[in-house]
Amino acid sequence: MAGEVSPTQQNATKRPALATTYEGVGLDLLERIAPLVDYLEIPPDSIARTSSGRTSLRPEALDQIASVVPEVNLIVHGIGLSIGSYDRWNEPYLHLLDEFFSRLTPRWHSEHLGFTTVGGENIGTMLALPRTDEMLDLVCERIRRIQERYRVPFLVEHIIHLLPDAPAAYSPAGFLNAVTARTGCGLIVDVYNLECDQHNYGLDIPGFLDELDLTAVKEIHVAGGAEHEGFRLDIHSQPTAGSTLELALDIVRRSPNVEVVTYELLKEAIPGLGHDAICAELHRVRAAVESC
Amino acid sequence: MLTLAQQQESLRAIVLGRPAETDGDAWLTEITASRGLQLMRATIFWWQRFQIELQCRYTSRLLKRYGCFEESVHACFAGRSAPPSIEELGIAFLISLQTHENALVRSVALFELACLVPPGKGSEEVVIEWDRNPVDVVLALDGGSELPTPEDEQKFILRIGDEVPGGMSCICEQQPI
Repeated sequence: MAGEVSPTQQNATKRPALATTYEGVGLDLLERIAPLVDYLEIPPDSIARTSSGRTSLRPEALDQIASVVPEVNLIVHGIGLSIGSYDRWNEPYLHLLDEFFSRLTPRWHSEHLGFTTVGGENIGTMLALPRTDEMLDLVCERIRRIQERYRVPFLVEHIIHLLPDAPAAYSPAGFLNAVTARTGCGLIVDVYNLECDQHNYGLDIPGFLDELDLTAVKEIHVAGGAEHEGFRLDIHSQPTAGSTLELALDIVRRSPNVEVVTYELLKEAIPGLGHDAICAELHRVRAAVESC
Repeated sequence: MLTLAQQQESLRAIVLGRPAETDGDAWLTEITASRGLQLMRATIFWWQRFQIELQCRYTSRLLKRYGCFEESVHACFAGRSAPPSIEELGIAFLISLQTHENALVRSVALFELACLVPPGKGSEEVVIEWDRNPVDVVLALDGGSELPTPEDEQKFILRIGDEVPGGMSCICEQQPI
């Protein structure tokens, strides 16, 4: 079945590959980072533009991405699907995915377990889902439809919580386990998100990982961010902290099916960080992953 | 116990700063009083401001010189939904400035809007009236030098369009005395 994650012989003996975000910012960066990674993580929302009310992928960004295939594999990581909106998901995002799949074939694609629109209105941020049976049914049904529509594996990622949790029937890990068990979809563990939740709301990371079905984890995200007024924010703008990398390596060692570790960076952070620092960070994450 | 629809509708109102009926729901009351909500709203505003600065370079610089940049961003987005894609934030902002009281702000915003969304084949050209030389305005905003003063007896007509030779032209007209 499309979307299923199965243990692979390869991962029993092979270390995870390295990926990083590419948001179509320009060939000068792409030519620097492509030789350093095995995968590029492409957020369709970030390489899109809107003209006359219609949003589509920028052809020049697609050309840039196509120019490094097949030396580099692709994975697609969405922001705009709004999979947990009670009324409907964001159909224009699926049109972007259709467009991407018509031109290129990613190894898998993924989305955040959250919602960004209510009643079709963008709320300007992504909010976490209530961990209830009603939401579980809604999300699993939508994942099933995605798995039918795109015949490559689909992964979901947990997001940070800035607001207090809604009354819940499941623990954070229990809800993810239920989603992956019912749908066969894979899981992205974002280590920096876990650290944000630990810092902001006291998430018990060891307890979370002990409860989580780590066989579903196919990809791990690492990033560095910022702290503001005592809150840690998931603005991926910095090199990865040592603690984040250590925790990521711990999860890699415990998860038999992890294929990729992705260093995530927002395009807005690139000018401040600089291409040299980004390349140095990719070397650093690669060396850490290879030490596993 | 709130339904999922009630939860999300209430959250939308709370996050966007609109009146929300919490009906004594303990969770929504907790959210309304939370530091996380304040931080979330501040982060949304910071992100909008940051994107506007990136996407609307000249207009942002001009508004900062007039000391009304943050106020203008807030006026454009407060209480309203954001455009569905980040790339549209700048467009929405520039459109909102077409009713600004300052003529130069209107001209610069319309110029930048025409650059972001160039008129396509067959569509009407964009005509922008300036009370001072637009080249000098752009150079001043680029270089951080003083803005030129308005010309009493001249106005500048900038045309942008597919049919305009080179895509853009500017002529200086004498104002009737």
